[in-house]
Amino acid sequence: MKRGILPFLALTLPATAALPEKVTYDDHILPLFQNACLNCHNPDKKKAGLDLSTYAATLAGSDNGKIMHSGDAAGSLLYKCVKGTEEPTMPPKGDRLNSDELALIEKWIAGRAPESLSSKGAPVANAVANAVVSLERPAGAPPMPGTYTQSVPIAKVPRTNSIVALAASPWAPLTAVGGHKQVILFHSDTLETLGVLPFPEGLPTTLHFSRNGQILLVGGGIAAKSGKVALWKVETGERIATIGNEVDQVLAADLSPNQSTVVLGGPNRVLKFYNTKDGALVRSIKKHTDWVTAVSFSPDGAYVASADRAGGITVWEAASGAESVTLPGHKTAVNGLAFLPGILASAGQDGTVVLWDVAEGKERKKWNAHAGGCESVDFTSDGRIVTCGRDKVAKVWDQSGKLLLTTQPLGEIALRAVIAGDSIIAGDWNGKVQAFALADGGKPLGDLLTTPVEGTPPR
Amino acid sequence: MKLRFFRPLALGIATIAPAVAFAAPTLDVFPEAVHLRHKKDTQSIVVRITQDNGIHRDVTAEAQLQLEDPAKADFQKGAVLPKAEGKTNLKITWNGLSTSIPVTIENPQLAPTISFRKDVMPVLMKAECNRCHGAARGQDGFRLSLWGFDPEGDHFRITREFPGRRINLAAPEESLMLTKSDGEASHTGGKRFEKGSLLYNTMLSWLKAGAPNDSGETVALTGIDVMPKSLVLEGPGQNFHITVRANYADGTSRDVTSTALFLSSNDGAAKIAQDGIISTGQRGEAFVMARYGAHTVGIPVVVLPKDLQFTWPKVEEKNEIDKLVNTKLYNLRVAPSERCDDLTFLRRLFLDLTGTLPPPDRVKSFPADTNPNKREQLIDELLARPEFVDLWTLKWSDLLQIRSDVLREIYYKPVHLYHRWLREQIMAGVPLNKLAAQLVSASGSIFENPPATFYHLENDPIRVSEDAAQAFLGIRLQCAQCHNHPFDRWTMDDYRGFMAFFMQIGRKNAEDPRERIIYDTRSGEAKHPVGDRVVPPKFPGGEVPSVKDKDRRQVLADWLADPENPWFGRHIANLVWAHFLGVGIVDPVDDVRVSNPPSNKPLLDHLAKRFAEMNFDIRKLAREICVSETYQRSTHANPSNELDSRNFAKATVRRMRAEVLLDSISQATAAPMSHQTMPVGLRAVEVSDAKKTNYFLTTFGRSKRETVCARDEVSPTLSQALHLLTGDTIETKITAGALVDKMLKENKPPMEIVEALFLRSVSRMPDEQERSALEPYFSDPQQIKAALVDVQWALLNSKEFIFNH
Repeated sequence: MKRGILPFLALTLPATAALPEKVTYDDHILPLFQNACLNCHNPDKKKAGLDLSTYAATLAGSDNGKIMHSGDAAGSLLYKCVKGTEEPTMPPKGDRLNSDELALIEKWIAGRAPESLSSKGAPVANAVANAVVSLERPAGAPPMPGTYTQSVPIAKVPRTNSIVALAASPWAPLTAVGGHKQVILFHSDTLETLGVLPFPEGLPTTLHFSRNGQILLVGGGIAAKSGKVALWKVETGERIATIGNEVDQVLAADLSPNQSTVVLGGPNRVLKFYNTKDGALVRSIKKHTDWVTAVSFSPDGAYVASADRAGGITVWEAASGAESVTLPGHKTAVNGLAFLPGILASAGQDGTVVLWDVAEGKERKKWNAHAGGCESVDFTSDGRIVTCGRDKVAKVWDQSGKLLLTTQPLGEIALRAVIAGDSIIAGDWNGKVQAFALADGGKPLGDLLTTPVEGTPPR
Repeated sequence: MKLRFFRPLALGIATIAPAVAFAAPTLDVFPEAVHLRHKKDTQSIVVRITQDNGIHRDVTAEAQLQLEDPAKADFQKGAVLPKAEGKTNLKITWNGLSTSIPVTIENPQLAPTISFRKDVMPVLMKAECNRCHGAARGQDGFRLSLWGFDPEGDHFRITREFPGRRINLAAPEESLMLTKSDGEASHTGGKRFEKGSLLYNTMLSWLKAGAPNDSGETVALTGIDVMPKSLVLEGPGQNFHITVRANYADGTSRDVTSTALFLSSNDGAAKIAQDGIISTGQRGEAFVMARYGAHTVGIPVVVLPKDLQFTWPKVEEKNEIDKLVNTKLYNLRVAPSERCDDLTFLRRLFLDLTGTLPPPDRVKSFPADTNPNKREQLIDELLARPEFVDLWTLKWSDLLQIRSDVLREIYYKPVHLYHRWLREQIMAGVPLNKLAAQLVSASGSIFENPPATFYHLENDPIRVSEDAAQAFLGIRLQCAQCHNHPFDRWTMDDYRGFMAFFMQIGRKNAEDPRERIIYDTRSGEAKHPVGDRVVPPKFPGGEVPSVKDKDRRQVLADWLADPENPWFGRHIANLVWAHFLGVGIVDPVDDVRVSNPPSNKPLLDHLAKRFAEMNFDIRKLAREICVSETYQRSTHANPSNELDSRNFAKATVRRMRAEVLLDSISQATAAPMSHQTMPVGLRAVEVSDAKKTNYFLTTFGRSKRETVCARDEVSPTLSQALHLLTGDTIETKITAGALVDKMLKENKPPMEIVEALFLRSVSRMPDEQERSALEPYFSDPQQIKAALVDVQWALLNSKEFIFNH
């Protein structure tokens, strides 16, 4: 745990006293509670139904339910209240906890709140609901962000990094763009900023909406240091799970359509399957011979495909992790994968797009899409293909490889492109994200503001 | 501001010891002028004292440095900084000595924009990023060009190959390029520089500027100057800082001391820190190198113990060779050995110039000759001998790997024709650059145009190009076949570029099955193994010539034969030098590379220059070497030079090469070689085909000519010793020559026969001790013959015989 958590602390805290290696209830937290909390939250008074005097009682929570999400300090009521980011701020009277004490609590929860040095800690219980897998459009209004204002400071940066994470909701007019330690949500039609989701774990490198559009997955981290995947509820902006404890950036990740599994990979070449409920590592597969660059679940959730920087693509049975088929075709890096039922699309550094018949394990169609390298590929729900690449444009194709549309050029290498409603949204190396018309010669429709300044009201 | 303690010596025969020429301490300042071109431009200054004993000291810190016009510039922390436009002088005073250098300030307000090539590439070099990541397939998934030969590609790979990974323009400090380097993120190569250091800040400024590439043409770096050019320092514990200037094609130059990479060939003698400060250690020589861009320049540094007592002996200097050798020796405080005696000289010269022993009558007459020019006359006489031609034909045959190989359909006839042609060229005195050009450009029937056999002996363009590079240029390109050369400047592009000259060679059969026709196909390209792109023909370390509608080999031949060629003449001169002195100035002779510097660069420069002036005439070069005192030194060591083997303070004891040894045994025993299919009397040196050999030649390391670097091998083996002692060669020769028998029949007294045997083998008369030791063996008349044959056998087994000394 040590490795993944420390950088997170370093990012959010000023210089503090050195924290113990392992923070436990018995050794560190109870003495702190005794000083600051037990006056009210003891077995006799039990203010708000909360007793912090024993480990079991602390886990049991208050009248408001559980006060801790094991492994997720920012999402724990206990931490929010003592930090003062949520009412009621605690302690209600007297001195607030100092930064060292806050850090101690944060580290304790992040380390899964162990009772003593020998205990493993409380099981993580992420609020990730099971989803019914359907290839149809979900009934009812598509999930859009509610009115939520992020209280965390938005990273103030002079410019945006290259756009490497970009996703559009399959059903709602909602586009998510990865920025510096944050994900910015835009209305795909009005291009308005809808909200900002903090990702203090580092640079988001991959974004995926869940099949039903309810959950947004972001993967990323700090290069050569740490990697994480986070899941948010789109409607509330609530982070419902933080998954993985990688020692390098997560470069590729996807959420299974039934929402039970996150598959991720990165520079260490290992493909990892995590259970979303408790964050447990289910399986790791060492098969890729180079960095894992793309991961994609099939719409029915039966398969998951992964690709690497050496051109290898493998399709796995999602449930068992058994290898289903390998798809040789690209000689250089595969930059992107996208799935339709039965069809997998891959984007290669060799400039081609390949459509694969997954059941047969054969190449169905291959064409040169972008001179110098095809950087991303995506399917629309109606089966069209959108790509972009080093020739600085995004293109729309049908499945026979017929070019339907080319956008006006972006200013730099086009790194990611998606179709959202009636427009193509594409981001480039310079960090600029633009919307282009899906007709009229792909003319530019406007920019998405990727460097929001602090205080800009979302919406 | 050059070395002053070594005043030019009198021309011709000079007997002035270098020490005599020393004047009082002198003060030198580096560089000789300061020219600052923008706000951030600075120039570090080195002030050097040359003491009366030739030892240098860095007195920059002790000296007073003052600007005449303090409004124009500042002097701070050892460097001149610009203040206002204009000119002034920097005045340097130390201990009563003073000098001044001009200072020019231009555009002091101009803040230069950061340049990827000029500012960031040197960081990648200095931090040695592009050494590990310079491997052909990179390191840990990230590749840079080796030592930065491809800035455009490096810029691409850093900024755009894997967007989102290596640089972070939103938060430049968090860029992987920095976090890997400053130890923040785990890095196989460890921490490369400190956060906040100059290298860090340069990289950070570039990232903050948006990681721009250079627009338009950038001015090419043409070279670097490392100052001072050579140093003699005391050790241990002395410091000396050097300064490095980079020169650009537009005539500008700038101080790059802080961003050049420093290396030392011998840390024990002189270590160099990355700030350019040398610190001395034990007595010894070091080659201290600065690397910047594609250029590596080294300076020789000699470290002497403090207060070393040394007297330079009175030695003659015949020519520039002696002066350059002695300069080096004096700097090392190594005294040369005395001149060898006449008999040693006679034998050495005969063996080196003709591969034969001096005839007994010459051994008798030469010492008695009173002509003061007799040594030079002998040199001229032997240079004109056909045996000289034989010996150099042999050397070239090794280099060109002349051998038949029936399995590869290389028959004796073309091999013989090739050898004969080679001998004719050397006989006729064809300039060696022309000879090499003829070989490289040869086409047609190998019967009618024997040099074309060069391309018959080897078909594989990989081998042909490697062999040609090693034989004609002395450089080993092999490493660069699969990866950029780790210890030199050679990249895969150099390798494939050189190979491209040999990609269009056609070979077809002729009527005679032993014949081949070599021709130019005008098609065929060298492909780069990474990316498979076509690599155009390129001279190693040089330009990409136009080869359109030309025979590529002719283009290469013209380059090779050009007197300005930076490699060929230098390499051959070194090869010739090594033949006479036993060790090359660059050694091994076929491994010329930046990190294997010449032991005496001025000497090699001189030989190369002279060789070109002599129109690549091997006889003239051989003569210049042989007349030098350096060549004529004794092999006897003195206390100061006994450990030295690279600076020609004494002559090297060399075992005769196999062919010469066998011929000498034949000559000493008067028993000509009868060699398989060869005519009786043919000397081993003259045998054209390496396939035709015998046990003796093989045992004594005759070159098999299977690879270009398989020179004759003179290292001793047990089988050599056993063969001489008990093998049949000497026994058979003694019997066949029957010298003792003949002389006994002529009724010569035993001691006269002993004298004759001495003269024939070790080229001298027996001394008194030897005579009195041998005398008792001849008391029994029955045993005289056996005793004399034993004497002959013992002489042929003696080190004195087997070695050229």
